[in-house]
Amino acid sequence: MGAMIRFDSIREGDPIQPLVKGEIKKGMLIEYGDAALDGNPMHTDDEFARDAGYPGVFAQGMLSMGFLAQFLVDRFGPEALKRFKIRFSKITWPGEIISCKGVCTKKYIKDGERLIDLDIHTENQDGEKKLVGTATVRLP
Amino acid sequence: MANKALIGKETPAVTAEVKAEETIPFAKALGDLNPLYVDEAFARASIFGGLLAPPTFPVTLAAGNMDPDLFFELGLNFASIVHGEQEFEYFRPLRVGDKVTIKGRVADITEKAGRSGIMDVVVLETTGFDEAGEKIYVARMTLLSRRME
Repeated sequence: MGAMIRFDSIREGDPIQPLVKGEIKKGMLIEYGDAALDGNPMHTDDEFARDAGYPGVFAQGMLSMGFLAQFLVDRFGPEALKRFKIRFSKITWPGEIISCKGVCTKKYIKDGERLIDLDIHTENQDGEKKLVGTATVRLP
Repeated sequence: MANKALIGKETPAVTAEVKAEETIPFAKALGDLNPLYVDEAFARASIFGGLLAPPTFPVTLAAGNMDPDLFFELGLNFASIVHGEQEFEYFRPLRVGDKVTIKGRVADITEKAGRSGIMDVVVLETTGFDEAGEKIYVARMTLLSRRME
């Protein structure tokens, strides 16, 4: 966790320091499937995934959304997150190196709370966006 | 096609306790070693007084409580269901030890034209309440299903 970002110091258009999650490995998908009670073999059984027409297993969407949650909590703190919505735009494959990125799009005060809206996404090493969405966080 | 008469249909409330033996492996599986999630002593000494669950944990908390009859009633093409979007609203952090009453609802059913024909779009909403009846979170899952011929 780094120093928390303050309302007075952030400006619309400012990028948020990215979170690099590193390479997606098949073992991570098995571990997440077990921990998240997500028994879908599409993420853990290559043969099953190939039978379904995919080249092999791919990451659970909620694994990547968990990365984005970590990104937002690391940057803004455990009580900051008010809402967060994403679209699972592209599949995340084992071997890809995933980063979480965001930019402040709006800064405002509503019902006495100091808020910012963000565009957020995950992307691979080539900059291909995977999960794409928005978040609203409360700042000190 | 999806049965739009089901919009607004509620599923029976279930109660689930947030347990450290589930939240700690969940956080570790995300590679998220925030001490508020994984270090009991650190979390106890924090302003929260105990461990927190990561923000996406509500999906797992509700995972065992999805009503299979509802899925059947929705009339979706099972083989084609894709998790298209996910949204969370938070009213406070979810804590280990919370006994969460989870209420599910079919929030919306629409359709859209996709590249491979008509898609049914179903939004399932689950709301988690604490023992005082206060909302902790709302989770909205958007499922896409290619319509059967």
